[in-house]
Amino acid sequence: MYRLCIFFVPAFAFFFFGISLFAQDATAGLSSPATVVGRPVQIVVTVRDARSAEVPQSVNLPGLRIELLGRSTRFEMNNFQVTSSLTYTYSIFPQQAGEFDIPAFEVRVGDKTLKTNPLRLSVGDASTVQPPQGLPSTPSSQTPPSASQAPGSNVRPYFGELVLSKKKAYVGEVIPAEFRYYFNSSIGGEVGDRPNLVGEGFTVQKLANVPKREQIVNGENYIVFAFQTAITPAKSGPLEIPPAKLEARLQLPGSAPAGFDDFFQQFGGIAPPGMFTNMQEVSIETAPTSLEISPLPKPGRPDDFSGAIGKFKMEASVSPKKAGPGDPVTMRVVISGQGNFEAMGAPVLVGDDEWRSYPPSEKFQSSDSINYSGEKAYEFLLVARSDQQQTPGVKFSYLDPDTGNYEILTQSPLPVQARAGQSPAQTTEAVSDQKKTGAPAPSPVLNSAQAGKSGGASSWTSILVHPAFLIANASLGVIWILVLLVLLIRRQAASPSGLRRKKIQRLKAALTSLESCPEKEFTSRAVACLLTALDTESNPLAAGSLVARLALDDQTRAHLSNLLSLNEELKYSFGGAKVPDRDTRAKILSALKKIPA
Amino acid sequence: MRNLSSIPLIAILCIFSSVLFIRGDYLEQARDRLAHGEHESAVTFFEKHIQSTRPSSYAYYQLGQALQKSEKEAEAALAYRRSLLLDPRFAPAAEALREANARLGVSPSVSGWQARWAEKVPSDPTMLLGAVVFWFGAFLLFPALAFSKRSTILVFLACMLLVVGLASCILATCTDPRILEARQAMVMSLSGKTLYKVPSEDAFEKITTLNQGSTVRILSTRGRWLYVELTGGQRGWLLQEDITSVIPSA
Repeated sequence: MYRLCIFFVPAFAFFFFGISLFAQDATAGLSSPATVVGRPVQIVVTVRDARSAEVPQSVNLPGLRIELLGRSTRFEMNNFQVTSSLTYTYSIFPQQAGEFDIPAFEVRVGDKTLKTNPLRLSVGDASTVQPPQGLPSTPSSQTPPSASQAPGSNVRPYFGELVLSKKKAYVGEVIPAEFRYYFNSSIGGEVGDRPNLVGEGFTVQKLANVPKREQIVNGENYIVFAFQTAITPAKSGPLEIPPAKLEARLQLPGSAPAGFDDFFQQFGGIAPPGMFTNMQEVSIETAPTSLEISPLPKPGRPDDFSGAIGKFKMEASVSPKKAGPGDPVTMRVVISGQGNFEAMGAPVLVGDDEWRSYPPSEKFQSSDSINYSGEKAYEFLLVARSDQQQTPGVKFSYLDPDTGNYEILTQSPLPVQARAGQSPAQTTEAVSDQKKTGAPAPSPVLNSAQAGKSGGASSWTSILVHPAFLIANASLGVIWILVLLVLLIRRQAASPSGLRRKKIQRLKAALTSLESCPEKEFTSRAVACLLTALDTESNPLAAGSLVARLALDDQTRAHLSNLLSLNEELKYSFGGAKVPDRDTRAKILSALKKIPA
Repeated sequence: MRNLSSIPLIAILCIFSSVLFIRGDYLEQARDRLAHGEHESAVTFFEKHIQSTRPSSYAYYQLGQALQKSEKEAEAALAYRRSLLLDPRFAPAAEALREANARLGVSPSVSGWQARWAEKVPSDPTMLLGAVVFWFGAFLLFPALAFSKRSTILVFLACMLLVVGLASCILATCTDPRILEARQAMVMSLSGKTLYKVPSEDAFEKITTLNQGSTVRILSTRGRWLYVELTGGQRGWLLQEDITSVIPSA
């Protein structure tokens, strides 16, 4: 007993205080996304984790009368996790047809304001019920199986159904279908990606997921997982659509562990329902459904019947409006509506004898997830055999499954200005004429003139990547660069800076040789150096005045003047000038080195 | 000894002349068979001729004729297309290709400015001429740099030649069908090929079915699957079986 108390005291504490640990939110769901004028539907607003909330009593929306019917409270306990939810049920009475966007409901919980998700309701005219996407919107004749219908218990935790838009169809007709799987909102779990449907005698489009929604069935709130598809019968006669299985892992109510019931009996009761749950793998199946498939009616079937079954419209356009000789024009024919777009054939051109036409290209643009509604565009390339002022006409035939009659859509010719060119058709016609007249067929070997015109290339690679071309260009490039270098070097040598650099080099060499030259040659060589430095080799007489203008100290200038004097003496004295002594030579050499370049 | 040294020379001459003879023989035989209505045999000899010599537009055209007579429309269309790749100005091949496409139920592709240019101006001579003009302009720059007098005129002339030569080379490259259609391939399967949105044979992912003779541009390869682009720009995946490259592999 003591042990039990130790175990259950925290458990009850969690029971009472744990409620507030879960996040509050508010959601809204329609009992049916579509209805007709005068047929009410319901909105269920669920507020999770709340004991009381304020909701609007009514919502004003033109065309819809929305009023609160009542509320209920639900407590759920799953493995000691307790959640409470408030459910408010509103009645919607549609007063006029149309698409209605129901705004989000504002729900006040304490000091917080929560908003539900907005909803969309299709209201059809009561006289012509047209369900969206070709699907029934749970009309009275096709209401989902009620919980009471399910064997075994009054309230089923889950069930599946197949909703077909019709029970009688033609071979090749596309029948929109929806597989719906209902899960009671009180149970949790995981649901498989898509149901598995295998059968014979029909093909099924890829299943498309529909956003899950909430729906009330026999007063119980269910989460609905739906998958839309299209079923196409492949043979006539009775067709059985087998059950489609959806795998799921659900937390279903389970029995209490041994000893728990005794414990609750001590307190005079039993364990609360939903307190203990088990995770179970389940397979939910839809009920098998029978269809009656008829073959395509033979009476009234056009010879060029396209194979289309449904309801279609046709539009055509041409571009360009003016075409030069031999240029093609494109005739675009768009078939739109609902039906078996994937199996239908192309429209037929009418009165195209003077046009050269080719099988059209086709492109389908679906406006739903099951390729049932949309438009298919065919593009015919047309080349005029002779000058034309209008395009061929277009004809498209289909079977209307509602009436069982074949309908023919026609498009009259469109104005265009197309000129005939030198088309190959003329060649073909010439050949066929020859065949008719029994003349021998022309030899496929061309005459020499034609053959000569067909010189062309003799390689699959462009000359751009031919080795000889690459080598020749690379060689020319190298030669060009070499010539450019030579030219640049020569140009640089002839420039003032080049000449100056050359002079400095010459001067340096002369000064170096002056240091080791014979004493008798010193004066003449030193003067030559001086004249080079002063750039006045051609005019030695100007050397004196140039030395005087040099920015040198007096002593250096005196040494250089002395050198010029010695040179004159050497030139003009008969006895020869005396050789300058070592000291004088050193001073002259030093003075020469000081001359700025 | 002199006699011995001449033996290899004689052998080389014999081999060379026999190769020339065989080449000429294949072509003559092919033409002869074609003229006598032996189309299948003509196809074989044309193929042998093409394999033994450099590709020529005329030879592919004749092969196409022989294939067409053998009721091999897709193969004939491929041969005509190859003939046009080598010489886009070869009008008989263009006409024959249009005819073959019409019989195959393939829409003729709307030719762009490159194709229209290539039909008028051969790309290889344009490239050669462009290169010559370019280098002439490049070397003309040297006298322009060397001589100070009239250098402006010379530089202008040289620059003009450079631009014209370069533009010719670029134009020849941009309009060369062997470069433009290097990744083109043709559907050869008699039943056509199915184009899928994803590389998987999932019927739900089917985009369309391409007729025999349809051409696609291969963008990439993943295992057995080719990612291709149709003439209209639509892209998808198809299995590479029965897809033949327009430019034959070496």
